[in-house]
Amino acid sequence: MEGARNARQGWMASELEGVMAKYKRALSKTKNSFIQTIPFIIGTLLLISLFNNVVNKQEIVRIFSGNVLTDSFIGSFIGSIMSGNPLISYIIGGELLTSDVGLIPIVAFLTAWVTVGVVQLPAECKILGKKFAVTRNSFSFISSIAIAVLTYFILTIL
Amino acid sequence: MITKYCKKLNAGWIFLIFVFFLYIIFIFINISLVFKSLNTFFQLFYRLLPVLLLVFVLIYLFNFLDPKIINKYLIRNMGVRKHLIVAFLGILSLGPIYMWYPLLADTKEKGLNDGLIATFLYARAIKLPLLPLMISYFSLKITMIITLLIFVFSFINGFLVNLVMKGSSLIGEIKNV
Repeated sequence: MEGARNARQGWMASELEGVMAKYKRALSKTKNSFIQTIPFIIGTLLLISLFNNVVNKQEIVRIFSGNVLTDSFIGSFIGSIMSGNPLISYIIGGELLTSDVGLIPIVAFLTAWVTVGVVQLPAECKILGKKFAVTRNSFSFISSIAIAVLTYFILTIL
Repeated sequence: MITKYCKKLNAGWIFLIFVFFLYIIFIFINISLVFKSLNTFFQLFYRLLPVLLLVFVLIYLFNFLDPKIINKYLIRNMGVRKHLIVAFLGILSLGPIYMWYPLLADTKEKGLNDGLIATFLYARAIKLPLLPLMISYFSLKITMIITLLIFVFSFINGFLVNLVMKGSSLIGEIKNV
């Protein structure tokens, strides 16, 4: 009887330890992610604030011609060469939207940011193979343009 | 000495220091512009703060998911359902993309094809913890359309990558014959 109780208590203690270790691991991962991301968030917001006050909104809009394909290509191109936490891309994209930049280049930019990795391409080539990495990134680039165009058409229908 | 300190700091902090320097330069050029920009910054930051807090709470919850569990499901053979499961695992995976390359190379050796790896990597574009931020900037409707399209395109990409990779290996085999 006593032995069974001790065994149950021992099992419960080890289970509790396991759960606590999971909580601690998750907290430590989130803390690291926070420490790594927060300077990027503050830096990006500071840059956007400065940019908004220095550059005329109309000048930003002028980069985009209004042509669906050209605008999505420019958005995808910028998104492809930029890298980092997607959170930053949402902030940049969202602020561009408030600056009257059209949705198409922004959607292309957001999608390319997370799907195309020019910066990570050497690592991807080395680990997953050159042909695979180049093929995947090329299709991802084309897809980001397609997603931007489709989003625009779906929104005009809805 | 400077390089040693730079190595200790991560890229984010270096970027922030660079932005601070930019602001310092602008103090000498146009101080009123700096105050105006700081005012805009605080407005943006306060607007974002509640969403950011929610994002980090969601990231915390998603961090309970062990990458080893994802790897275990990736190598399991489940037929056609596997495409769907791989896409969902891609959505659930967190962290930088390069962190997943060695794990995916490992699953490739255990039989995961190139198309499925491409599906996994593409579906990673859907970031569940960041959805509140996306909705706050782009509205629920736009967020839903983009998310759904990315999900569909993860399969299209997987299919196309597999087609190209299989095609090239077939050409190689023909050349060998």
